[in-house]
Amino acid sequence: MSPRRARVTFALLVTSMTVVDVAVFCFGRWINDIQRQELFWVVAEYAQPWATLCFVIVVLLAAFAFWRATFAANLAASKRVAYIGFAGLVSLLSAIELGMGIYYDHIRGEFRISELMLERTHLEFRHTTDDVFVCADLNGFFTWRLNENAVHPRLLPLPLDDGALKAKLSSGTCRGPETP
Amino acid sequence: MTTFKAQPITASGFKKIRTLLSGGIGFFSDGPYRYVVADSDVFRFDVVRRDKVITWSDTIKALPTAFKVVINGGYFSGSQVIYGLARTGVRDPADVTSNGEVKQAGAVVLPDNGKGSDFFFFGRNGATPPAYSAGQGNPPGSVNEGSGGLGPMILPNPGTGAPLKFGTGNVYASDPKKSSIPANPKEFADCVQRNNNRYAAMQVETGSPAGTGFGVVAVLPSDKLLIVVLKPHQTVGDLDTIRDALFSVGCTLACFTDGSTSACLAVNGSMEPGMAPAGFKDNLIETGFGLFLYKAAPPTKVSVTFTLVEVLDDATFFGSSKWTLTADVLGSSVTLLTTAEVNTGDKIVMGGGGFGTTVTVPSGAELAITSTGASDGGDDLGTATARFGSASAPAFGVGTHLLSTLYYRLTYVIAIVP
Repeated sequence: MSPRRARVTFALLVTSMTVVDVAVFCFGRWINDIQRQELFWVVAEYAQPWATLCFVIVVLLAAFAFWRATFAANLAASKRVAYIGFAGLVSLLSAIELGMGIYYDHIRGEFRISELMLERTHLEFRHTTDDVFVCADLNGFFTWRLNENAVHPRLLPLPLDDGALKAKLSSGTCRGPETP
Repeated sequence: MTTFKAQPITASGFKKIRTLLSGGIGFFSDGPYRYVVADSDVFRFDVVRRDKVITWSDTIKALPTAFKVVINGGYFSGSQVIYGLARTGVRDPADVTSNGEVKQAGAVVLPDNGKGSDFFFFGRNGATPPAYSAGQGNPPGSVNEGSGGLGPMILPNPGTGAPLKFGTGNVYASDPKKSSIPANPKEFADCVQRNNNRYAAMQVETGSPAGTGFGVVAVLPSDKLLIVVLKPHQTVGDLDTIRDALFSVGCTLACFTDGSTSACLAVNGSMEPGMAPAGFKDNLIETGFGLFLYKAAPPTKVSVTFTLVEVLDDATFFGSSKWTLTADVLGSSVTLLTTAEVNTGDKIVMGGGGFGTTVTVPSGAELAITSTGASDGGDDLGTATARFGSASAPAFGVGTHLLSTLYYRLTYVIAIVP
């Protein structure tokens, strides 16, 4: 590949990756905002500025990987494509994850974790006359327990803005086996 | 736009509520709550269902005129994608799932989404006039028309059959500290409030600063009345307040409907201002309850009192003129002036609080008021007519009005006679 062609390829790759990742990230956050307007739903997502900071780092790392793969002198074409594809995929998945939302409808008892509207987790809790709505243990960082169901609200080691969500999930009274 | 007359929901206020109905129905407000009271001998609750790909508002517009009032119904669910797409346009009702079964004319027309047993139903049998029932789960076989997917507010006590409030926590008359689940008839007899977790969650939500809206359908059998309540979204108010008010006036059955931005109320086919659903909810809501006029409304007795005659032009160039003015109120003649001397600019106050008459407007008829007059010079002073019906806002034009020709202007007051 000529140096000029490599530079053009690199520029195209970085531009397209950035555009796609920014769009995906913003779309995910927009969906969260839309869901917040439906008042029965409480929504949590990755806290700012950590989400954006992490997003920028991921994009920069992917761009660096693109640069290495594009300008490496002795790299087979198949490996070059594999490196670029892997870096692009990692950045895209990170953008999706950073835009994800955790949703809880405390009237209907529905708990969802969604990535771009695609449900990663969907739990429904009975909400009848006396049943415990949600008995939640939210002390784990990566794992929560909701009525004995283990859920993984996040895949990245970043904080969540989950105060309101945790308050709703913890508002019910846990009924132990000793009480009827 | 319907006028909702201020009328607190209190035991004393409800003693005369029937006298305030016109055509078997009345529109009232109590603080933020808007409510409709209907005579159960002529109105019944029917289910309204969106079964075409049109909005909920358009579904209501397309209903027969016998549906005087429609409120949104049970809770429904849909995927996040459907909720997202609802912001771009109307969704197929098949994309939305109902949290409770819906029955029309004895048949299940909409199944639940597996959650029916967690919710409550409200409905009626097929008799005329119908008997109403409500309880946990989907509508049973005895219900001819009704819907599940609702929340409980006032239901029969399983131990005594008397009305029992639902709310946050179990409450007992004999022991205020006791909160356990009633386990036997004796405990049920002592229970004055039954816990319901969905009610508790909605109470927090409705009482929050966001002021989540909700609707209520209720029955007051002792007075043969049906009640629809709406707390518009983003107004102050909560479930407990309206539940206690309905309980105090003697309601034996009451359930709350879906709320938040779904809470809506339509009168005569149109959403009331401030009581419409959010745009995307209008594209999603698929069921509701309507107050359906199944029998001719009873005749309405109204009084029409003329209080003032203003002479705009005495119909003569020089001096005064002598006028005779009469009014016809649905065939009943009222003499306002008899060869009375008048001058341009005169304002003649009718003595003794006004001249008037009381008439009975038959079911479906209009109240027609016509004035005619003549001067001693033989001049016709013109004829003016006003018409009011049960669909007028307010019904039968209750209030103060003017009736004018080129020569005179009459002021008159219409009131419903209990």
